[in-house]
Amino acid sequence: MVILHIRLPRALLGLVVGIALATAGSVYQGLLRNPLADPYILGTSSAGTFGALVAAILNYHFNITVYIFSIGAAFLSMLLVYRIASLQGRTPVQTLILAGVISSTFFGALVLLLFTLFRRESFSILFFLLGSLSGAGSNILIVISAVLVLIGFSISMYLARDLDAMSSGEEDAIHLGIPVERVKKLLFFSSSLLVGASVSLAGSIGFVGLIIPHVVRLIVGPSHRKLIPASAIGGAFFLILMDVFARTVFSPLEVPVGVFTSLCGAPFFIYLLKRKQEEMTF
Amino acid sequence: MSYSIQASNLSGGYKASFQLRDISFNIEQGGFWGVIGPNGSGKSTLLKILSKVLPLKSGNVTINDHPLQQLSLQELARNMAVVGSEAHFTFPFCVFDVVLMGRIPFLTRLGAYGSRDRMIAENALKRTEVWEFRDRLIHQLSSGERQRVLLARALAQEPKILLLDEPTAHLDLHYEIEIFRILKNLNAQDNLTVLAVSHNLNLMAEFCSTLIVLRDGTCRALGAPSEILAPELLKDVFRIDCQITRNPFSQAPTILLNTQ
Repeated sequence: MVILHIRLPRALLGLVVGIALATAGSVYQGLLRNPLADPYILGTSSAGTFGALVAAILNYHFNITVYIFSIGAAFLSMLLVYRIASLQGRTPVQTLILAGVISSTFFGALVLLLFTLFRRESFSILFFLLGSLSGAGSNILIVISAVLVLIGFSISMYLARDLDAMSSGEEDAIHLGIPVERVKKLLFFSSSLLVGASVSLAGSIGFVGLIIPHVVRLIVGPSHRKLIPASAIGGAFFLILMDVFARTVFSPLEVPVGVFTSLCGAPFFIYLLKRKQEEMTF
Repeated sequence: MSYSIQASNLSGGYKASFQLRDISFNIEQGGFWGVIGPNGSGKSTLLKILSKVLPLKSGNVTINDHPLQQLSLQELARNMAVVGSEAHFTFPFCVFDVVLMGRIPFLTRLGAYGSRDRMIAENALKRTEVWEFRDRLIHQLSSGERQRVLLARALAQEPKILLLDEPTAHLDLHYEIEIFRILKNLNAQDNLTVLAVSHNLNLMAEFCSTLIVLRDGTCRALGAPSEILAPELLKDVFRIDCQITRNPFSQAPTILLNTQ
């Protein structure tokens, strides 16, 4: 019974969030042509946390309300970022990154402000700030997120080869017949689905979306048709494994899973970086 | 006579800063044309308008007798390939995969590269003499080698027209001549139409049958190098003091600079 009602939903949550983060990470790195890009670079997680916090402060403690507030705020922030960065029908990726970082800082500040003012109310959603799979309450929310992630993943795969064409710049991609602005908009939308669906369930879990695409790229190469699905599998596997550590290593205390993704991920990444330096030059 | 590129009163360019005005020319099929002009004269803008990177504001342009506005980017990419002065790849693709990308305009949305695509990519690698690098990573190559890989990618598009925007800007003399020699071969053997931008006036005079001379967004001269390259024109357009002589090897006009 424990396995069916507690462990299984939690593993499913790990699966959904792991796939979402690693897929969004590989799409962002390709789309923004930036090896430092991760799923949170455009401020989605801060906005998602802000939404959840507002729901908690308004005393909506039902999971579903927190979820809707969080995912709604995440989407709105992405729309805002895209609007800010667009000029005359074009959205340069450097401007997009800048607008995202600004949005991230702004919502981050709002989160800190609310957290200070409403300390007691905020405590119930502390896991959002730390990033954890322990919030796994209602199965229906996991299913909703799973559907969103599936849609986001499918769009990403559909446009995977366009990301290859864009890897030497958007002008090169145009010369290869890719309608770059339309592709960017679609990929931005699909990544918002992925990140929004994961943030609203588990807060921001660091490192998975940054490191998994890099590790997977060393194994399967940079071609996005292989990179995206392999990253999804790798991300899910890695996150579920780290969550097992998070629950058991300091048992009965549970550590936020983000602690383990970074603690285990960073040394492994450095090891790979040193061994395959040649393929890691950007 | 059928034309690869026809432009009449072409105008357009970047929104505020820079515009090309009233450029007209007809490039015949199998022509080897060049665009010369000082920095900021509109050479790159012209190629960007022809390749739909920048919008055409007014005038008419046809590519292989199809109006440019009616061609989708994919249709355009099946007819015309573009090589820039350098390409920086964010992630380490191997050379063969880079050249395969030239087949993207011919694939269906969900389709994968087939054996015919691989064969075309292989031939392109051989024609630009980079077959031996096919398994190397793109960023491990020297600039000269990388440019030939990008040329191979363009050839993998099996284009009828090739646009080149300062393809030899970062190359030494040997590689520069090498690129132009390969272009000349493609032009002669495959009837490939070439439109190249370069600052090497002597090389352009050597290889191009017709030159378009731009300054401040307008066309100052158009014609065969031997007819239009004159000290007065070059003084007016490039602000240089020079004499024109003949290259003893090829009889092409050659510019002698007075730097005193």
